[in-house]
Amino acid sequence: MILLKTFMKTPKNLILSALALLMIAVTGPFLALRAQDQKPHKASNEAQVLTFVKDHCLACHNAQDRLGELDLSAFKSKAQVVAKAGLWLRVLERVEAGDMPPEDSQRPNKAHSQAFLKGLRLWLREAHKGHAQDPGRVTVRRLNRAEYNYSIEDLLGLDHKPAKDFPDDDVGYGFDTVGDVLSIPPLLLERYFEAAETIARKAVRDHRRLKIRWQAEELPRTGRGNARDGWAWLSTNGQFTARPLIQWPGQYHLRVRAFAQQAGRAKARMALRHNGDRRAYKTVAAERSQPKTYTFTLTLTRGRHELGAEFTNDYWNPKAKNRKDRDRNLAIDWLELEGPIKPTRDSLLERQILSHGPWPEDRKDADQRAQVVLRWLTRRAFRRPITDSEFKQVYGFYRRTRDGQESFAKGLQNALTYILVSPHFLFRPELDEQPNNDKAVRPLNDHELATRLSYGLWCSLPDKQLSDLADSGQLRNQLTQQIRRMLDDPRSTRFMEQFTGQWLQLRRLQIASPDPDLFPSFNEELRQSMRIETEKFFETIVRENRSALDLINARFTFVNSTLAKHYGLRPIKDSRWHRVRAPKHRGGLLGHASILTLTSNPTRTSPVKRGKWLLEALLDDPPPPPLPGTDSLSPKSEKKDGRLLSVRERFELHRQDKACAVCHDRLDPLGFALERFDGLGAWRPKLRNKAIDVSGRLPNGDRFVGLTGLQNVLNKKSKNIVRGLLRQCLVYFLGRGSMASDRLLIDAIVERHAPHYRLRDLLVDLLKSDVVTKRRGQAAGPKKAEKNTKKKGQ
Amino acid sequence: MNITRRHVLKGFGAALALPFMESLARPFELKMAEAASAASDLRLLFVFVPNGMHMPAWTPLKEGSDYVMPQTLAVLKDHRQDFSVLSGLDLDAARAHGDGPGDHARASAAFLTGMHPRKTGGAKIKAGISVDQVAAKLVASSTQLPSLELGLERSRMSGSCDSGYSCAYSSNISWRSSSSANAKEISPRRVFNRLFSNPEQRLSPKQRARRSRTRSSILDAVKEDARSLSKKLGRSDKQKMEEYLDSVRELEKRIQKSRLKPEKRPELKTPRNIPKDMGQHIDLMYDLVRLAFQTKVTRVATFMAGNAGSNRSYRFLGVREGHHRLSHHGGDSKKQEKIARINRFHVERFGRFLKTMKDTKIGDKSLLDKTLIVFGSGIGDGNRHNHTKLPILLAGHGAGLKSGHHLRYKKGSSVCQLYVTLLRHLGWRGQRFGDASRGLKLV
Repeated sequence: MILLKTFMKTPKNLILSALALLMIAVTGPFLALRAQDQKPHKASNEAQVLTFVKDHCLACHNAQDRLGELDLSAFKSKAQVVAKAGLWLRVLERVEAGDMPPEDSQRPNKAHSQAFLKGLRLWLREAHKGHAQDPGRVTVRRLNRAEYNYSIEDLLGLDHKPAKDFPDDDVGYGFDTVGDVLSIPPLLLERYFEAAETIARKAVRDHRRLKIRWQAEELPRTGRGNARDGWAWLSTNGQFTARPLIQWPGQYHLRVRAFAQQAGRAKARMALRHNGDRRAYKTVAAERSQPKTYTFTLTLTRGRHELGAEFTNDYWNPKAKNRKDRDRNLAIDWLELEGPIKPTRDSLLERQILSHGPWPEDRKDADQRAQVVLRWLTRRAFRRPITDSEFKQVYGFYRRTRDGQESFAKGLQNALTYILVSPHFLFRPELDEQPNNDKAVRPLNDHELATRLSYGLWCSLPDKQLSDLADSGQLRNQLTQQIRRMLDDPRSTRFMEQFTGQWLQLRRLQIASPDPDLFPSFNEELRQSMRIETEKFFETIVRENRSALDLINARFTFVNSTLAKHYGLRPIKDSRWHRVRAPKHRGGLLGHASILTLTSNPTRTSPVKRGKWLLEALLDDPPPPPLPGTDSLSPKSEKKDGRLLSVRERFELHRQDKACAVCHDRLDPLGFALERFDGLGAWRPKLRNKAIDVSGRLPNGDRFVGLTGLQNVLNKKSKNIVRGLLRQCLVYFLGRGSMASDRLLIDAIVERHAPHYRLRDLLVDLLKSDVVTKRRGQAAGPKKAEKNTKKKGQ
Repeated sequence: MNITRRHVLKGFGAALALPFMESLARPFELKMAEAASAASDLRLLFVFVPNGMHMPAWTPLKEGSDYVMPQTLAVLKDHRQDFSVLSGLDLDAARAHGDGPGDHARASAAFLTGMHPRKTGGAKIKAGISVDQVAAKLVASSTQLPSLELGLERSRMSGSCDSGYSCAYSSNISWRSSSSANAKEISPRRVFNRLFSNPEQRLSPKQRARRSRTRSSILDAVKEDARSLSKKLGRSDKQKMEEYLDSVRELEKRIQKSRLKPEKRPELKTPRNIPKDMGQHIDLMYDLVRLAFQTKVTRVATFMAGNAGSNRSYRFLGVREGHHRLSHHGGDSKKQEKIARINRFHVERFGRFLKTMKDTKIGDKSLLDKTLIVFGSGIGDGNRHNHTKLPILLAGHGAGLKSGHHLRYKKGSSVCQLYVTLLRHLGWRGQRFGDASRGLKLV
């Protein structure tokens, strides 16, 4: 019902224009529909489409051959086609692109093709009717590793990356933001618990300052001497040693109150001994009449330390004329250790505690302070206002700890541990009134929305501004400004890193293992530089609101000294990153060493992998996987007439097999255009002294040469590229697989921003769309699921 | 007698003052006694190797105990009496059944579950409970950890894993429930610390008691949170809360049983994080299994010696190409030889493990005498991606098994039958596992 209402609210012509936009988007060269096309003329239409399928598709895509794993023989009516709209959308796209039917088959005449496309488009439009901007069902999300780390960083100011010990998050639909596959095995819960305890100890430290004083005469000593009037004497070389247990690492002061009985030419010397070693010296010029306090500064780690004050230059000359000049001795009153004087940085929680006054000492003061800071903390950790009973729960941990005679800090630690293990923190629940009704669409409340946006763009909790807006119910009024602000905030770098790591598959660079004999220049530094170049590149396009097509065409890039060398550019002497003009042969992502490396085999380039990456990541058109047993280059093809064949020639042989050709005719030419980049993306105009052929021909007949030619091909498909980028973003933001109906939304956005496709604007539009700012219930269909199991199960 | 957490907590308070350990230990023993008494000491390990094997170098020609070891198995000749080769077992659930490509993901997801995984990139993920987890439930009461999941490779971190299958299928073999895989641990150091380090030993009894009291009340509170949340959630969200609750309960049990932690740390030094050398990495993981079995911290373990479809290169063996790529050898004898080399390497490491298991004595018997190990792959021939005639070894003498044979099973026999047999040794009374309702004759 709600869906219907939303629908009614939207002006009808707007829906129509959205649909028309979709049509324009999918029609490509065939352009918009004429008005009369809007009326479905059922009978003829149905026959036309199905006949076309029968005549031109079923020869290969039947139940036996299933070429490309596609069997269209079961579709006997319009209803069946409409029910599988997603699959047919791909069919439509392939025929539109001219890839299908393949050229060696009997080609349909143009009129037939057009009639087929027109009919199919109408059907698919009907399939989406009523689902415009369907938010879909999003499974409750737990924080993934990156989100956990960043949430802790922003919540408490601790950046020790506690999630590094967590098991890997599984990936669904290409991203680690999909709630369905983010499971919580016992191992992970164990790690959550341990991490929470560690974080709590770091976030609010117990004895924040240590000050101990030892009377020297009570300390163990070496050397001779006795004690008089509260002074302990060292009358031969020797030392007093204290053994404090340090809980709070940092810089400490060791003070020693001392004077000396001077004799001989030198003054008495006192050394600081730390764990057996002499660390520093002081000249003790002070005499009995005016003892002085001498201060050593030292850094202490956690644990037991041995600290000694040592007399090092004993002097004894009984023959000296002056009685007072015969004996040099050192007298010590006490040793005092205080610190840490420079503790490691205060956590945000500690700062919050101190912002209300000095560290509380008595119980009443402490309890009041605990209430204030725990309210503040829980609100932020749960990312929404908290109820009284929730607060009681949190505070209860503090109170019970204090009742057990433990410290203020310990009480807060226990409360914090609870918060960090609670599902309210670990998950981002969005509660529906009708969770099991898939018709019940509702706008997210402001807190849910703030949380979705902040996890989407910052991988972390909402900041104060977002929370305040949500509290006052003003977030929706300022949605566009807020999304822009968030994109401009440095924290959005996190999103760009996570997103490009998965969308462009940069994370795979981490496991790339180029053969060290063939690629001796490859090392960790180069690996990281490659990744950073692409991240900076993407970030710049977003931040400067440049065209998304710059991903293909940009004339700039970023290099540091390592990368400049790798690319053969003018050497860079400093250690910074520089924005430079990209070399002529290397514009856009396809010239990035990162992409070219992660799509290579350890020993050589892989035109297939490069082509596959292009289709998968950029063109949003992943090829089906190879058929088992057919997906390798035949070994027999390595040589012909005693001559070693080039990789390209071998691939050409491979493509003679029709089953392989279906895909490889699309894949290989794309990859071969990049053959002048080696397995690390370095430029190589020649291979074994022969020029490399980088020309190619696509199934639709288009010919092109090299990267520039490839860029032209891609620019013709600019809509597909932008659409793909947005679709992937949507999966990342929402944490669900994409739905056929997402196309309506995405096509409308793409159309609105043509032809410049400014990336920041595209993202803003996507994020403020209904699909992101609303949610709906889940179909109550466990029966269906069970049926499925029975079929496939035991 | 039921031991509730409260009892345990009370016990903890007086942990050192009272003979509390005995009072708790008895019911556990009783429970164990209920299980088949002969097998009460049985340990189970399941080892998965990716991409199948080069079968001509694996399968012996002759049946019986005087079979000739083909090249790959020959590296196990010193342990001939300690394992049997089981030929002809199928994993039907890993076949396409209309789902198209994705044999690698299916092979790992079905390997121990015997269930056909649902083809999905994320939503409604579904395989089945794996044999190790069924076993773990049967023996959990006697150990501190119900089971241990180990591996070598991180989960794939981007892209799709195998033809539309979520990476959860291809990077895990152990499944707690049909919708939730058990994450595996790949760092030897972390496994070691999880098994054996006991920071609480430094605490005074009073501190220890306080700490476990706090921990228990935190777990109580979060359980309550999850339950009340769950009431307001939709179907699949509820399932997530269930998963969370299960894990909380598991952790509670672990905390209760932390007294079972061995007092003495085993002789192994805390290992490094992840050694560069793959052989060392494998050896360390096997060592950890051995230690865990020896100290009985757990009695059930799985080890993924590579994710499904792993494309790792084995340069130290002179194999530069990726394993998965190679496995599609297309009949190239050079490639086949390289695959056999990789297979031999895995079998060799396994042989070393068998030796250390034999050398570890428990009373008058060796640890291997109390253990059964399934070693194999969910794919037979990597080139064809088939799931019939899998390469499977059954090693160890647990439950009094006599080994040393090559057994060939008739067409259509299922690897699940092997699991049924293993589970029955643990006193399992189920009717059916995967596609099998009968066991397997093992001699």
